[in-house]
Amino acid sequence: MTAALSVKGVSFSYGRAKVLRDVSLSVAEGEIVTVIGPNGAGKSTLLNVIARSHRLRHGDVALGGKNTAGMRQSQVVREGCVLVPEGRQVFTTLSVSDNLVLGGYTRRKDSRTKQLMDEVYAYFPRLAERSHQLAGTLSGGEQQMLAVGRAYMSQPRVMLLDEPSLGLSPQMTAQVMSVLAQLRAERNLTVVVVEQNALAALSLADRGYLLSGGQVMLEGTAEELRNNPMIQHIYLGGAPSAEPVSKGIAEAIDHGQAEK
Amino acid sequence: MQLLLTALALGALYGAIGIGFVIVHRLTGMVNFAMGDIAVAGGFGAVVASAVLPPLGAILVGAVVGAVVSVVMYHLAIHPLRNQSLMVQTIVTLGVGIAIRSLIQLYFGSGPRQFPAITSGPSVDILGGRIPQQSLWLIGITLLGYLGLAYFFDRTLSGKALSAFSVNAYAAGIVGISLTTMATIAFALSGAIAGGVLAAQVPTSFIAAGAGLALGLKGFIAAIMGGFDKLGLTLIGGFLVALAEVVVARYVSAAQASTVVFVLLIVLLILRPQGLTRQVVADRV
Repeated sequence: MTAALSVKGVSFSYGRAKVLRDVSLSVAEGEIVTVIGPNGAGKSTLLNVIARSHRLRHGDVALGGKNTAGMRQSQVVREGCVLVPEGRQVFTTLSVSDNLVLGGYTRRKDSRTKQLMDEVYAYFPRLAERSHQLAGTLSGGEQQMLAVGRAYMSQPRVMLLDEPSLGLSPQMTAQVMSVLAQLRAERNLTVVVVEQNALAALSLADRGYLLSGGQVMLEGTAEELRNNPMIQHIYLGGAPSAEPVSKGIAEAIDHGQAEK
Repeated sequence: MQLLLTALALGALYGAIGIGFVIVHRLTGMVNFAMGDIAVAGGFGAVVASAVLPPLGAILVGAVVGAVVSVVMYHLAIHPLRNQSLMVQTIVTLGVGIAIRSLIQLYFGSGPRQFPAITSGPSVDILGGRIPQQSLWLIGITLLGYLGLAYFFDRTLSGKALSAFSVNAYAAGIVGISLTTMATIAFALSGAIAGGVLAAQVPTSFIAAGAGLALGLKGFIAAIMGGFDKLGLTLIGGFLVALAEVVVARYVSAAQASTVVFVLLIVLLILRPQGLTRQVVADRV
């Protein structure tokens, strides 16, 4: 079976600083995979290279078996791979609904915009209440919902999320994560989520990769990574608030799966 | 009243060129100092077209020529430098302006050109002032262009995409909006409104190849008054520049009119660099 997303031997540097060294990973269709690692490990860079916000110079990225070399950013989106960037990056001076409409920019020729928007509003009822508000007036959590909704508008097969829990309350994180689980269950969406909040990410994901110093140090099922002594020591022990967060997320995900 | 009417017509022209500045600046963050010369190119396009077309058709051709010159300029001079700093791009526009001016001069000479008005006939009396019919056309065309642009930015997907790109270029890229497409649209629109409106002004006075620089600077002042962001305020800014110019020309000296306008520019830059808008437009990185 061809992987929904396959990354082979990708390296990337900012000037002379090497950020990614020969990174390879593979994500099956409908899988949720997390990439965890410390600050500066190259996690965000990896996603930006896949989504082509950064140029791909060394290595290969394939979507559903199709090599994306030579594709422009907009073509990658059209191929069904969309990024939910770090820090949300919504269009602050435009309304919530305009943000969503623009999310479907690459699909502007088909007329499903209205239907897709209704789907987004169904996943995030809060956005429906605020559809005419300017995106800049939303709370951080609402902006994160909007960023996910905007990405959904491009009808992706693979969604890349960069630190979706950053600056969000545990409840808000749980809500966003549960929608991701729901999207996977209902739409067979493939999800790659980059997180510093390792425990939250591992409770959502099927598998995970540990990235450090621009290299893949470990890979395994979420279960294996959670039980790995190194990860426990470095990432899980140090976060006092991690326990209740992951519990809340686990419950939310159970809830999401019960709905399916 | 007479001064007001004259300033209205002249201000529409400055405002339109200012809008040209604003559209390009909002998207790319650079200042296109070739704007005045692009408008003049549109004006000469209209002069040429007026040989075979009625004046209204010629003005339309003027808008198209302005748009084409502007887009060609983007792809030849700016796009190759898209990874350079804004300063580099802005300086290049000065060079392009000189090139356009010289080419026009080479081809048409430096003498003034003109073509007939859309409707001939005596000037119209409005509240004791007199205004040529063509000036009313000019104001009308400017307002139409402004309303069209406002509708474009508010209501159409491409317009929203342009706004989105100005707000957050990185995020615009992520949703698949490409800079090249957006810049092409922005340069086309800015060239079209500047070229078309200047073409509409040609019948009331005349046009000479060297007019671009001064026109561009006055449009630039209008754009500053609009905070380099607001189209409506830019039009008002254009009117204020024109008003200052005609008042000085009437009561002081016609020769000093431009001097006073540029002194105003300096004063404005010192006192209200944010223009007529309330808050300072955030600096783009």
